[in-house]
Amino acid sequence: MPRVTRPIYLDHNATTPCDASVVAAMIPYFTEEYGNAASRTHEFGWRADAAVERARAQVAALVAADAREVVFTSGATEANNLALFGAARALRRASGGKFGHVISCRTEHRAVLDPCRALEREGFRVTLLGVDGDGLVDPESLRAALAGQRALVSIMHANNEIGVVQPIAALAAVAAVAGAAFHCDAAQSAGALETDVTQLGVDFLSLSAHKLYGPKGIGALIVRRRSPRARIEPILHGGGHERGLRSGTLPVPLCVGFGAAAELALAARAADAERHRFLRERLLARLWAELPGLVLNGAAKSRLPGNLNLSFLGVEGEALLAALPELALSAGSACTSAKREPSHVLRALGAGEARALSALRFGIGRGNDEAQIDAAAELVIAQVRRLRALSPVWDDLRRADART
Amino acid sequence: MSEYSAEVLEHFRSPRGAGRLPEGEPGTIRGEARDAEGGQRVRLHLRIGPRERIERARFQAFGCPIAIAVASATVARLEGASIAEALELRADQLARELALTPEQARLAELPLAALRDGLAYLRPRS
Repeated sequence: MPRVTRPIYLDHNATTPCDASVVAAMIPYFTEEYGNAASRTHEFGWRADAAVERARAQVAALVAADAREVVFTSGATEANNLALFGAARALRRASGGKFGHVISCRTEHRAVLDPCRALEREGFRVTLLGVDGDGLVDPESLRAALAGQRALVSIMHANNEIGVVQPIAALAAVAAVAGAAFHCDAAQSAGALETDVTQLGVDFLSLSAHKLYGPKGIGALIVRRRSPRARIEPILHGGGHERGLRSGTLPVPLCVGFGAAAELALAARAADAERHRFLRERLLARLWAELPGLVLNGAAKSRLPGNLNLSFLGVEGEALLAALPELALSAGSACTSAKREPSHVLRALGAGEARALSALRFGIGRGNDEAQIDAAAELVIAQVRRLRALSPVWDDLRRADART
Repeated sequence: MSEYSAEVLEHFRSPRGAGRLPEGEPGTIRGEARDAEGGQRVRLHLRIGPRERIERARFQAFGCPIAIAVASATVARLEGASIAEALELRADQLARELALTPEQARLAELPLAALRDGLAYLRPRS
């Protein structure tokens, strides 16, 4: 067994380390360049503003947007809230109260589902589309839900748990025909996949810096300038920063870090994707060869390159995590001490409780190499075997198999 | 890892009496319980010898480390005990032994429910 001092980090869907060059770019903006980007009367402010505008252009370039379309926020959660509340309220106001339908999907992140629930309490009608067994939304189901009427649609680009990449361009095209505004949470995908706002055809796009080797505490909402559907109202008031859409003094060092990380991601994205896909396939092949009773959760092809979500039938995810202190992973269930709730994403795929409770998520990123992947596979195989040896669920499955 | 006590982790990493007993042997019974809230399952296999003494005890468990630890700790106490003694075993004793938090303590009921399930087949005789 390989000796590991610090756990091997395989949770890059949760967060990524801030790149050293990104940190270096940020440091001067904490110490020497401490001006407020909104200060118009002196050099400190002008320099801070120039740094923010450079970062804005870098972030825009990552998703092939115009710099003027970038609204900095505290992260993707705030960007999602701004898009959902801001666009839903604007839609209702512009239509004189006629339109108040918000359409999203069952596998979205809580940062979309919870705002949807809050909008429901404000009197909006909310429809959550289902997904197929691979986790994909069918554009036809969106067409049916829209029924030719204006609405706000929010569908994520790539799923944070199962990595499934939605057919955003096809979905956004369906929404556009109905005149519906389309928001897309691209927190997981922008650093991993080509994410071009024009090609995707979205009106709003949420981004997060810490998912792409940038700092925590900053993200952005891209608000398309040319789209007649991209109408939005602010949800924070006070100062009119970010063209009135997001008041609050800009965190200049974080903006600079986000910009540097975005530039790095744009340059590294294709090579990163190839390498992460290679490592993931290596991990999957090792596990598949040694362990029966594995289920791949989510589509095999339309998937983030570094994401692997597997159910190890007969073994509970939390137990497997506890048995693997050498690995930093997450399970398919949100566990609060002894209570657990199977992941809403896995349940939406049609996974039963046993499969949903036995899922682990592997998130491969820049820091991982082949030796780590091989070590991880070896540890997982050994612990799955150990826990299955004492599992009544696995015992029953094996006996049922032996009978057939 | 702070979620689990050292005692839980000890049982989880080195479970006592994990496995099953050969089926169909005289005196061998099996009991099972499932936690409705969390989906955890504990199955006990017991061989009852003369004078209603538990000669051998094994467990199988599916669930978080706590489910495995409470089953392991139960089995460790059951082997050699009489049925009367086994039925005196209480969840709060297990919870204390394993330093469970109040929210975790619910799971200490699981092996005891499995025990009662198994012994239910014997009770009419005793």
